Amino acid sequence: MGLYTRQQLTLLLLLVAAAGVGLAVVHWRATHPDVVERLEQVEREISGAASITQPPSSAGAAVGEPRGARTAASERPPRIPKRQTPRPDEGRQPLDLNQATLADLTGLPGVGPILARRILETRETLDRFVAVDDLVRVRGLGRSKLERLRPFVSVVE
Amino acid sequence: MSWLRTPLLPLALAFAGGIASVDRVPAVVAWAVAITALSGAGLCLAVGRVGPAAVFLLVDVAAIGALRATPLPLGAEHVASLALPRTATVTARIVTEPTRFAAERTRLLLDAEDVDGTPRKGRLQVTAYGEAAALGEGQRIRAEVRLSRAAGFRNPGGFDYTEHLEREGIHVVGSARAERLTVLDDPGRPWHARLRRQAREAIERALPPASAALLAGLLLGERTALPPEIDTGFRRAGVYHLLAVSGFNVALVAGATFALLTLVRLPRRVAAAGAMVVVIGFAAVVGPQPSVLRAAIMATLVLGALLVERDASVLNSLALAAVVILALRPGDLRDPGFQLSFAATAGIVVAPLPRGIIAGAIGVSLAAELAVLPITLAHFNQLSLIGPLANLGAVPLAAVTTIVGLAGVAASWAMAAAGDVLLNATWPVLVVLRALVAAAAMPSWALVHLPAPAWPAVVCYVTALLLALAWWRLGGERPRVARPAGMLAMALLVVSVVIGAWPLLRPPDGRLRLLVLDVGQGDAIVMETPAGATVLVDAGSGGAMRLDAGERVVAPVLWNRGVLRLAATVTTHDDQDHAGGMAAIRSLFTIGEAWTADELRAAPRVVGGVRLTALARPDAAGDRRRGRNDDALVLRVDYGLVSFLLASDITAATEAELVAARAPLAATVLKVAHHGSRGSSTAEFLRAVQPLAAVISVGVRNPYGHPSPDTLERLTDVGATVYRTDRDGAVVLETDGRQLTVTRWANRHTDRYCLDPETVC
Repeated sequence: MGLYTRQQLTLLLLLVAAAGVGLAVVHWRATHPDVVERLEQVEREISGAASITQPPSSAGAAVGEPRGARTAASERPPRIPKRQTPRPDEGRQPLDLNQATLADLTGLPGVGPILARRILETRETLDRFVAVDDLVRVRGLGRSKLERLRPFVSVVE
Repeated sequence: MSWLRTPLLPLALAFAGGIASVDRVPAVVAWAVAITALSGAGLCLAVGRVGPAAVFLLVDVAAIGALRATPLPLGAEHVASLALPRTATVTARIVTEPTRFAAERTRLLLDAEDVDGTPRKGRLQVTAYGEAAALGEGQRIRAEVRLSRAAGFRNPGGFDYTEHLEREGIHVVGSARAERLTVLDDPGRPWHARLRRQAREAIERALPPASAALLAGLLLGERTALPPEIDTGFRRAGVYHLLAVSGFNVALVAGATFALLTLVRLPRRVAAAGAMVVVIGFAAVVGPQPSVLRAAIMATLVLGALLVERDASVLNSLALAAVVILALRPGDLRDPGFQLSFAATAGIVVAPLPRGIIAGAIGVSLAAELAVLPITLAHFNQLSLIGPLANLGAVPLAAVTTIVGLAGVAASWAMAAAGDVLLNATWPVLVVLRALVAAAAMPSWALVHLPAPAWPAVVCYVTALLLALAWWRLGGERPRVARPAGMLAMALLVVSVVIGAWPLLRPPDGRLRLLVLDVGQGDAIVMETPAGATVLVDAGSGGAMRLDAGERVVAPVLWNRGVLRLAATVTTHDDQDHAGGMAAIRSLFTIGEAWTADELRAAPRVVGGVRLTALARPDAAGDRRRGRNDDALVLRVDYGLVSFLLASDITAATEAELVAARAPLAATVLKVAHHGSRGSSTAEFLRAVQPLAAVISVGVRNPYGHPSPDTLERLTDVGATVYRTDRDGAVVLETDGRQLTVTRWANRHTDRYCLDPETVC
């Protein structure tokens, strides 16, 4: 009876449904690039929310990379900044310690020109900062000041 | 019971058993057994005794398995007979599609044709550095290659890379600059490689990078572009099997094709034949891994049974698939992929599965997990606790993605735009799958790492499972047999757990052990104190573009020694070849205390009866131009009459300062500074240390020329025996406080030093 059998109809319907979903996704992706970008980093979102320390290949991995490797890395096309663990108190972007200039650093609360220069010197001896905690290696920058600075600075891998 | 009528199963087991015994049975014995068993079987048949003839047949099959697995001499023409290492101009054909495993790093599998103008044969694994031109399977290339013998790290309880390569028929490896590589003739890719590449391109065109990489893994088993967080997530959630092409994909392909062909009103037999062709084509496209072969053979048999209208026995076709694969590549028996694929399938086929979709799904998941448990523990030290749960959600999502994705890929071969739309339809499902896996991977108990079980534990475990199965099957019919079987199963299970957990339960033996691990160019030293605490000093190299020694070498060694918790870690300085691996260690182990250099310098520590002293850094302030090596932490370990000086990477300047400051340098064993470089280990310093044994942690063929011949000479001049990780593998130092034994792990050769003049040893 009819044009199609029941099974044929089911298959065709599923195919049409898949095509429909596909088209919808194509359109939606074109109009919401920012949401797509966030969804594509779903692993970070989830692990970031629980602040778990997972990926073993990052963190201390960059410690003491030879200079050659570092320049190679910095020549890569700029990536969209990854969302760090959510910060409760401020809206503006934290300062990347490895990119910061003397002027940037003096803009931080409680950091004068002398301390800023010491931070830059420490960065030079360390090659680069691997974590914000590396700041304790700066002479004259103790734990308490580090905690005060923490919301305003970051280390982008 | 239908599942017992499997004539091929005993044959497959006998064949596999023969292959497994190859290292213990000399070829002559195997030949003798084969001939005797054959004549025995003939004799029995002649006098009409069928039973004994069958036993002889099985013995014969086992002997033939052993003979099949016996390696043949490579012959004078083989590349392995060359004097190695050497740099040579190699002409060769590319065997499989090259893998680009990192930026500017491409791995090529080559069949050599000619080396430096003389014909040679044999398989090479060559890493090309730099951006390689468009290389593809089937091309003939010529390149200047630095050839060397395959070598892995040799550590107690470490992964045997050399054996792994030999299983693939690779005895020689090499490295080449991509620019010095020319394509001689390009026959064009074979059809399956072309289809595969087009499929990957269609996926990458349609989807954002991370999701595209995941879909390529689900459909084609391709994992090279997979972001590390997805890779770790799938591992931790216990759903990594989805990223390997296996029975799951093949069954979907076969089922979908068969359903499609019957729907367009083709006769069942034609549909079965069509599905068979598609399955074989799919297997050719996704590649020759054991899991694909196994699934393709089984699918072909089941479809073939439809074709000739007979019932197919799944267990029988599983056995046939095993025999075929092992006859082709006997080495696959030790391959984790082979073992996982067959164990999981056997588990699902044999296990009594409850009815109902959800209960059935849980049953399948549990059966597979129980079957592969000893395998994942033995190869990867992993036990997935969340796996059975995570699979419930992940498998259906992966199934939907696979069906729609395969349809999309097929459509893209015909019409790119249509493929695009269908592939996009998978994207929301992919995102949900990723979210689910990430959430399942999050709890710290999702995946636990345990020591690899000893073989008696595995034997007890498998026997227990089989007895439990018998108990279940016979329960109603023959309770008098079933009950003891069930009891025995429980008892064996307990025994296997105790044996398997022995490295964790074992009481400390009152000896101090230092393992200077073979981590290539770098330092990693495991210290096991007499009271059972473990301290790790440095963790080898790590970081982008490198092998992470912390994760790949140090962690498995620790797990296999039964160490799940480190009492303390020490990083002597921040160079990547000492500190790089520490990140992985921090995420994989519970760490009691992470000592910084300053904390250690402030006060010596006593751990489990051993005194750890950090030598004061001389002249800490002052000079700004000091390198990191000068500031490296020098650690002294004292236990009874035996002492160790771990000199990290210090240079001559620091050594001189230490000598001048009259630091306590004299020690039984010296871990030589800076991998034996010329600029360290001055004669004055060595005279102050006066070591009996000197250990150099250094990589094979390192580009720095470590250890320097001068340093080696200076060490022999003070009378020290030199141990080197590049030649000796891990160096194991063991002491009770009075005498010291030093073992070179590569050949298990042990030297003994007596330090107590009052006892004889």
